[in-house]
Amino acid sequence: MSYAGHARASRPVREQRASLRAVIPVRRVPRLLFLLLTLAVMVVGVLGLLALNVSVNQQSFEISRLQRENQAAETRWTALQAEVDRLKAPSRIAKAASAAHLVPAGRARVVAWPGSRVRGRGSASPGAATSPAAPGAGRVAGGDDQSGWALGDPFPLKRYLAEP
Amino acid sequence: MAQGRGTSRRRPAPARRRATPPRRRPPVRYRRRARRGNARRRLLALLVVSVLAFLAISGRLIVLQVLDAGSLDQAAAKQRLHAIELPATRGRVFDRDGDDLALSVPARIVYAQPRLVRDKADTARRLAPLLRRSRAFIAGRLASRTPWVYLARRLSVARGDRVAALKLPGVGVLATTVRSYPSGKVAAQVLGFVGDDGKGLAGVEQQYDALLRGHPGQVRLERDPHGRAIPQVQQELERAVPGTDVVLTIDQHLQYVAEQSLARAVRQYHAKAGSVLVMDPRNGEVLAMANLPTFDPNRFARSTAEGRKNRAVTDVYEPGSTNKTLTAAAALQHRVVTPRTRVTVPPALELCPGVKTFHDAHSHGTEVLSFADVVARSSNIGTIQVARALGPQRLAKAELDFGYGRRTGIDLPGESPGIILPVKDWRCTDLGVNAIGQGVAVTVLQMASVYATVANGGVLMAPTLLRGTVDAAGHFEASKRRPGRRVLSATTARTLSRILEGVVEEGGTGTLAALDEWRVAGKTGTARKPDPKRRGYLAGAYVASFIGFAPAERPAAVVAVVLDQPTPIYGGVVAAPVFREVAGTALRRLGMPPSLPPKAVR
Repeated sequence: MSYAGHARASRPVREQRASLRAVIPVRRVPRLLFLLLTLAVMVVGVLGLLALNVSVNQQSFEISRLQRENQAAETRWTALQAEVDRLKAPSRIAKAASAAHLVPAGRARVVAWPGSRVRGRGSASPGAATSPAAPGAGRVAGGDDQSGWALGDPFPLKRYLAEP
Repeated sequence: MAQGRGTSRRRPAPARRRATPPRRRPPVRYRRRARRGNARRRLLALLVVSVLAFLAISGRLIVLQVLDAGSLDQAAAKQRLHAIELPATRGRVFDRDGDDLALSVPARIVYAQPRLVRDKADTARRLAPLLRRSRAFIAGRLASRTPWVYLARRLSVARGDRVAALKLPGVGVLATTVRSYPSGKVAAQVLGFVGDDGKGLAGVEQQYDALLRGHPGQVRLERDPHGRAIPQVQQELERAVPGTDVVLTIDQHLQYVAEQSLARAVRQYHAKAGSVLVMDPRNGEVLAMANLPTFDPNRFARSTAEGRKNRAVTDVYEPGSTNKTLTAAAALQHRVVTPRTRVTVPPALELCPGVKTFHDAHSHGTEVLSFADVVARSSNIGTIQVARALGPQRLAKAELDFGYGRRTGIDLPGESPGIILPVKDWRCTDLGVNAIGQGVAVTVLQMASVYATVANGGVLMAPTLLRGTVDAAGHFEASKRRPGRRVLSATTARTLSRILEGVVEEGGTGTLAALDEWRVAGKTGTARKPDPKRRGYLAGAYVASFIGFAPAERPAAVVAVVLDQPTPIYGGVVAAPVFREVAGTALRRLGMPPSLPPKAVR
């Protein structure tokens, strides 16, 4: 206590009557409940966000996995396509045919039995237009009418051979 | 020592003993008055300093957040964002039937950083079977002092993945795509090849590079300082646009037959080089274009310039007697002659007295031949006689009308326009030499176009290699064709076609070109080769050719065969058989009905 305080302390203390009045008790919100509620909201919110995040990440992993699979499938398809093209290469086919003692289809021949005679006009056989070897196979000697022939697809071999 | 009031300096009294020590008063403390002014000043000073500090920070914030925000944001983004190019898949090249001629396939590049390879011998041993290279080769590469070496550049995906699975220190695998030509050397010069940067460098790959290469895409994503992509941040993706597929007019099976037939002829007759070209005269589509020597576009790095050259469009030659068709066409068109016009053919002709004397291939006396026979027997003198009646102006115009001296416009790079002399510069002998095909230089394609024009009823169709394109959605769009141009009347073309049939009939020079099933029209050629270093011709060097079309009554294919310096030298002997084989295959593939009755076997 300071010196000035000493001086004040020596003066007589007057009693002061404090005016009192009745106070209506205030109803307070229970703190504990509020705290618990707030905590619960925060926890639920955080957990919810976490779950959402995990779900999104899971989906993105799945997407990445599917993209990789798609890429791998595409790579495999392209490689197979290249292999098919290699097998279809004319040089390989010629080599394989030669190894199997095959020869390129030559020109058409007409076999006439002894004593036979050609009658009438020939017509195109259904396979003639598609056969690379003998487009005139359906024809017989003497026929000169070519009006029955239609050029159609200039390269019928494509239809004749099944696509791999 | 006691201190009393009115203390004065005098001799201190003797000390007395006291009973109790004196009560001491607390020391008087002088109470200072509170300096209210000083505190206020200090507070004010503190306030000023705080305000100043606040202003400085605010100012800096404004500068950073407002004034420099743009540039700083860009700098940060630049540091954080990385743009990765997404390469576009190069378009495929198909033949007319839809078979792949060229496509891009995934592959792997195997590289090594020699300094990081610990056991080079063991690494070479383990890699050799996978890379299909010798250990010595790989060890040699690993011994290099460069920081980075390629060990394999076109490895299959399966093998590349097996190399990666080995996890060899200092050895890495990169994903890439390479251009593959599944048919190997077939149509090599037509297709061309693609460089390591994915750019077409020759042939169709170069001509249609803009269509084939597509547009690369880009993905911009954020990376952390370690280079790892940060997920769940915004990524900007611009998808790559794949290249457009191109469908050629080439028939790869016919192409193969043409190449094999040409190869056999070049080998058999010891020729230096050769070309075979097959065209559809009705629309100008090139069905086959074969050249020797050739190369493998899958290994273009090992090819030679001669092998890569598409000599059917880039090289010129003097066509010789095959050019007599043009002289005949002009003479018939201008009604100078008819097929039956009688032409007196002496054993020699001095077109320019004292300058040049022309002879026929075979010596003879004075003969009287029909014009058709003049062509069938390939008489130089008879042709020059007709050319004299035609005149230099009309002959030169015919050369221009048929496209000599300018490019056909085919979709291939490096086409030569050929060489012709303007008629105003013709000298005395030029009429004769032009008439028999020695004073003019053309490409194989140009000569084939001449015969295609005759075969097509007198209408010249621009040659083309493009049938159409296929976009990313799979829609085929046919290519736009240039319209044809009439050069001869239909009657002239038909008449000339009949005359040319005589070449392959008995008595003609091209009987070896005759087909059993179809009527053939064509012309042989045996032309001297000019000396590239000086005026005149090389001794003993000839270019042999046969160009024709079939079936003569309704032409569907024109075939031109040219052999460079064969032995023997005659086109009717060395080139005509190649024509027969290739034309026969072409007509069979076209499904053409025979024009001649098949011979019965009894």
